Amino acid sequence: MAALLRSARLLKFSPSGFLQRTGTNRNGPQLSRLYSGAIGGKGVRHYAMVTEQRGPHTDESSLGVRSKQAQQFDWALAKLDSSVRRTGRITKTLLLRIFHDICRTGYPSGNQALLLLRSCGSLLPEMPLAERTELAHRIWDKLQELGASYDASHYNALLKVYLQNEFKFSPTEFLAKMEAAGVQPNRVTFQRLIAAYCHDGDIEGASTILGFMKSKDLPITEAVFNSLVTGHARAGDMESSESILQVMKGAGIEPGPDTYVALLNAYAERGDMDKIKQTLEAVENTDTSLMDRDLMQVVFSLSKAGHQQHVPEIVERMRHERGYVPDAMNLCLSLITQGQEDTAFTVLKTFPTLQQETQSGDSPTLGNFFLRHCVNMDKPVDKVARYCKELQDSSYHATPLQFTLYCCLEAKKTVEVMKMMKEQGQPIRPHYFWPLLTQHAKDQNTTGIMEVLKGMQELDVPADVETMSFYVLPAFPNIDAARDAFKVRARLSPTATRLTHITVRFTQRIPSALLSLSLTHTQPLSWDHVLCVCARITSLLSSFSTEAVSYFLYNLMDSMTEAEVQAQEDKLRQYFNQLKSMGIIIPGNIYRGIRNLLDSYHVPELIKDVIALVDSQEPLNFSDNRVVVLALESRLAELKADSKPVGATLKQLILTLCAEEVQALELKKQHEADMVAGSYAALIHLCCRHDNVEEALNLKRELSRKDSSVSLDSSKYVALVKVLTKQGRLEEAVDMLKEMKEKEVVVRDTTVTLLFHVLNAAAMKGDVVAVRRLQDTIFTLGLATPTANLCSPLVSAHLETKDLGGALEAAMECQKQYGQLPRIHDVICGLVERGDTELLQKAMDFVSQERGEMTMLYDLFFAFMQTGRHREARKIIETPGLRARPGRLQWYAEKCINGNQMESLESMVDMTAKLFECDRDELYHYVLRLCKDTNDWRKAEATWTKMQEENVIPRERTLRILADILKSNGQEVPFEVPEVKKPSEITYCSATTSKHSSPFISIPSNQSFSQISVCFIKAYDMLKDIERKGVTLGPAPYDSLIRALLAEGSMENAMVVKEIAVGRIPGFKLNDIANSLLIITQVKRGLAKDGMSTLKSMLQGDQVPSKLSVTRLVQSLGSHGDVQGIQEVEVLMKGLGTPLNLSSMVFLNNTAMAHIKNGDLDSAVEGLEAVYTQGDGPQGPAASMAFVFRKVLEENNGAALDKLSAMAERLANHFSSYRAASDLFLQLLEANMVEDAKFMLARCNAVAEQKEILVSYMSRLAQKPGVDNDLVSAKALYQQMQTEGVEADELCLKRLAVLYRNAGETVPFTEPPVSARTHTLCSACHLNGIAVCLS
Amino acid sequence: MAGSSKKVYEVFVSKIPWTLASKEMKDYFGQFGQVKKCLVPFDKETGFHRGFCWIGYTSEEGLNNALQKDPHVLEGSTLQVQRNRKVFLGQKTNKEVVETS
Repeated sequence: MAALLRSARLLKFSPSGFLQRTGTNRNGPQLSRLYSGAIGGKGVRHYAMVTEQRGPHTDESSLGVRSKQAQQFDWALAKLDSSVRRTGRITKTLLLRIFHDICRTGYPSGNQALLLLRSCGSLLPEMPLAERTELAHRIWDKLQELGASYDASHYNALLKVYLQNEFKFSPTEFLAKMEAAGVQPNRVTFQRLIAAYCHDGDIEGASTILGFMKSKDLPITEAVFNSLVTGHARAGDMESSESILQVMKGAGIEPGPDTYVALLNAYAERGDMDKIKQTLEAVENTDTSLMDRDLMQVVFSLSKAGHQQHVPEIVERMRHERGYVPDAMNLCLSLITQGQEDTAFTVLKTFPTLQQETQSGDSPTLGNFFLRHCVNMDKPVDKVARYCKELQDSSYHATPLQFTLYCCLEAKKTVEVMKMMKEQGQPIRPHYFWPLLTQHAKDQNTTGIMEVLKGMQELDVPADVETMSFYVLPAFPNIDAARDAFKVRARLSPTATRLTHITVRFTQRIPSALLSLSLTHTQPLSWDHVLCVCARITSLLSSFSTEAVSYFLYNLMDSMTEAEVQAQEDKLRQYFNQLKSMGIIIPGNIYRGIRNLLDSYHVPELIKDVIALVDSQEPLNFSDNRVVVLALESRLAELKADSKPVGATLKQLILTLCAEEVQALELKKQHEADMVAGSYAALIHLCCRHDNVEEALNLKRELSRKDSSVSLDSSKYVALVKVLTKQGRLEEAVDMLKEMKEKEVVVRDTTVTLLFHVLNAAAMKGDVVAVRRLQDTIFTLGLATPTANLCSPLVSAHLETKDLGGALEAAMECQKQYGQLPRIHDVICGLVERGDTELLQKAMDFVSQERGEMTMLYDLFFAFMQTGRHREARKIIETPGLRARPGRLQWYAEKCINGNQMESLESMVDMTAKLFECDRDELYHYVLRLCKDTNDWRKAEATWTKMQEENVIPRERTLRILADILKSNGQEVPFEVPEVKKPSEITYCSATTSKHSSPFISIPSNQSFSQISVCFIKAYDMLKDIERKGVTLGPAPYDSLIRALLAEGSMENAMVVKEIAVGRIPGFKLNDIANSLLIITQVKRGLAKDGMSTLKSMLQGDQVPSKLSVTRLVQSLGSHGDVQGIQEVEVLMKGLGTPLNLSSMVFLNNTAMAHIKNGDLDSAVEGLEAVYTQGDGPQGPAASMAFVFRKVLEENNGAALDKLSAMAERLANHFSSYRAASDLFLQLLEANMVEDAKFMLARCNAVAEQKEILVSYMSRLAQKPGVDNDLVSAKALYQQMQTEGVEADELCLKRLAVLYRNAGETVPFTEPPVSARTHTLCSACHLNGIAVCLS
Repeated sequence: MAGSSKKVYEVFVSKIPWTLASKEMKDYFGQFGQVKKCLVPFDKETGFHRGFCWIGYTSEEGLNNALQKDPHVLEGSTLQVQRNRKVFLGQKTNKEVVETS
């Protein structure tokens, strides 16, 4: 019953979960629900507003904008909705975020505006009333500015917000404003205006409106009477107020709960408890009943009017209905916000959740929200302290002060609470100050930092290493500044100053600062010097803690660039050796961090030196075996030479060798005496893997002879069990399991998986006896808990031997013993297939008894489905009272999808049509997924028709998958696809497809795009038509049409639309996107000058052009030979507030192109050469001039090419700057001029060493579709590598192996065990191999 | 295989109240055995730790002692202590996490 209620609640409360909704009415019922849940203001019940007068905005905007708005609306609504559903309120942050998002994306739709406005009232209990109204006004103005058009619903929403926020306004002015905007007020408007008058006790004003309503024949509803109750009371006339109820009855309207609440509030404002009690009793005799929520309003009124002494009496009357807590929380928040925190505290103490929480073992934390809001509202500290004390004393909250402090810190507020805590004898710890420091550190606010430090000092909390190094020093621009600051604060404890000294060096930036010193020419600080400093730092640190040294090392490595590390490899090695001689030891995780760094710097050789620093006890985890074997061998030799214990190293080596399947046993013989337990374990595992039981057992015996106290770990034991079982030595296997138990071997999840494999292997042989024996042993020993998975092999063993009776028995036994029913589906399927009704009945009875009837029915249903007995299946699923179990339906659907069983899936979907609570869209989605897998568009289309027949409203994803299937088969999509490409994407797409400077942007083959284009042309015609009829649209449709036309390349049409828009809407301007598009279009037409002026006018209008548009413009200027124009653009871009991140090479390359165009080759070369000879300028060696080479090659400009290649070679040979040469080489390859490329390579050998450039080129090449699966080429390459003696590394081999396997061929070499995810990118041989191929 | 031979005696502690940091954790868990490692990741953005930490013991005994005690109540809060399943690696990508010892 409870479940039923819950699901009924679900039906009622979650709109998104249920799909029977249409796009057009989505803001009707949902919104009203959104607004029915709030508390804390007045007249809560009025939230549900009339939504029929929505503006014509939905027809206004064009397709793209509208769909985007719709999406965004859905998203925003979902966000706000879930917040309201959970808590009955919205936070300011959330609302502001949604507001900004809506603003940012341009023209807001009418319903977005409505959504935002409606949220500015009592849904924001944490915000002061005035601020709420202010926000509403801000939203109103901003959205209007952005082109939102307001209708009566918006004005009504604003009125509601005014009422909820008790905002004083003039109703007549409001009406005048509406009139001026040409919006007709409606019944709701008048009702709210009456409410506004009544709020102020202005009965005369209210009567005027009332008279007006009567003259217009508008119905007078309960809401109006309720307002009048309040109105008379506020005017001081309680008698009239009370008499309204009689008037209502006379007019045939029964007073509702809101009427009584109005009356109760009126009494509450006077503090008349007798009348309140009388009224409450009177209500009990009527049909209406008041909810807790209603009483909360009375509490609020009492408190606001200064009668809080009566609050407890009302609070006692609350019934703690469902939803009490969120409502009461909102009441408390509103009270606190409005200065009634004491009342709020009274309410807080009535919260009923205490017992539950204390029972669950967690310490109670009642009132967190209360304390947080008190902090946010800046309530006096002593007051909060009092609340804390009371909460703690009555065990409502275990640590209220700590929590309050947490909130203070979160809000970056002062340390006053800490002082109080200290007075109470609570510890104050350094890390309490970190949240305060982070903010200052982020802002580089050193004064703030020093303030906090002073506070720490006052509280007698010394700043420790972490505080100084992570939170204090990073805020200072450099060491000196920090030192100065601390000198000024000499009062700071001497420890702190000493710490500064150390930590100054300890922070990340310092090593890099030292290094950059050594690397720049200004101050020839030798590396040896740096080394010296580093060594000093380390020794200083090592006296402090070993971990500090490790972090220092890591940071040192991290702060160096790849080039630095490579250049200083020898020096660093010296340094590491020096550290070793100092006895520095680093922990494994730091080692791994450093290793990863060095790996990424491509200096694997250095890793060995770092390994030497690792604690020899520490197990290492290596990724690259070759390096490791070398390192280990050398370490082994070293240790042997020093006659030190080699056990750990030997074990490591054996482990490594085992992984490589090298004869590790050999090694054992060599070092018999040095063998340690781990080595034996590794060898035993190796033997097990090779089915060499005897040797494994021998080793095990030898091990226990050596040291009986050691035990193997679980994986070794399981390996032994497996191999013993495999060879039929069952009893020995069982003994092994027992020994595992005796020795208390730790069993992990992976062990359980291994055990399953042992059992399953036996089951696959049909060895029931072995499975049973092992399974029993495992479970009785408690080595693993019985899971469905672990139990299944027993059933499998029977199924394997076709013994269905045995299988059923086994399954039943498992259920009885372990509560698991393994593989019951397979058993039942088998029984159905065989037609063994007797056993089937038995099975069904059993399942029904153990798992319930519903499960049994589903089991039977799926068994019938599986065996193709659809008629029987239908009967089962149509059993009255059966309801949908989404999980089980999904299980079967997935099974069908994986097994490509369309028929079975379709009939399941068909049969479940009438199933209660069945999510039809979900089921059809399964069918479509399978259609997509099989690329069956006909079936997909038929499914679509069926859905219509069944009146299923599809979710967006269903429509999308359907559209995908149809599109990929070249079929027309017969409906509007929910997610249309955004205009900006279209721009991009058209701009890129039209690279080859056709005058009109070519329409890509992509069908959807051409469809959209057609739409836009139609829209253009329609607009001209509308224009003739003299209709004015909002700015949004004009804007989107202009953008669409520009994206199309129809510049003239776009300009016509613009003219229309300017004529219709004063101040109409193209926005950033449209202007950028205009530039691109102009450039395409060869109108570079026009593009330039568009750019200038954009910048004047504070608009930001797109990167693409600027690049295109510069390219165009370049090809026109307009050097000056390029310079002008460059200057303009530098003046831009927000930089576009344009590469300076765009300007340089195109300037060169302009010179070339003008025939001034020398200037071109000069300009480019300067880039590369000036060393690593801001662009660094990354600056590519490939563009110039490509253009020159494309234009077949031999003279320019000669000059430029001469320059490239000169740069390479004289200046060691290889970028230009590499670019040329690659462009030659691109242009298919392989011979020229070879010559180039012959002349500039170093090009082949430009690893990064080549690798990035190759990886780009490899990403092109088709290349990555080219087994034939891969084979050829591998063969060539072999003949040329290039050794392929593991990654190569692994990739090759994958290619072989994907092609269904056997792999002709041993596949390395590395995972393909290994990060060792293109190692040297990889590269060489391809380079060999190239040349 | 490599995983099983590796001797890491680590517990993973969660539900740590914000008032406790590495020093307190080290002191508390030190009663069960010698603590070799104590890693409390702090969020550099907020200045608060993330509510969990790793404690590494030098011996299995320490680990077992720590695991055997239940509940672990420290300054009024119940800490959740479990055997550490994943070994924490100081990866380069975890830059925002600052490990303190």
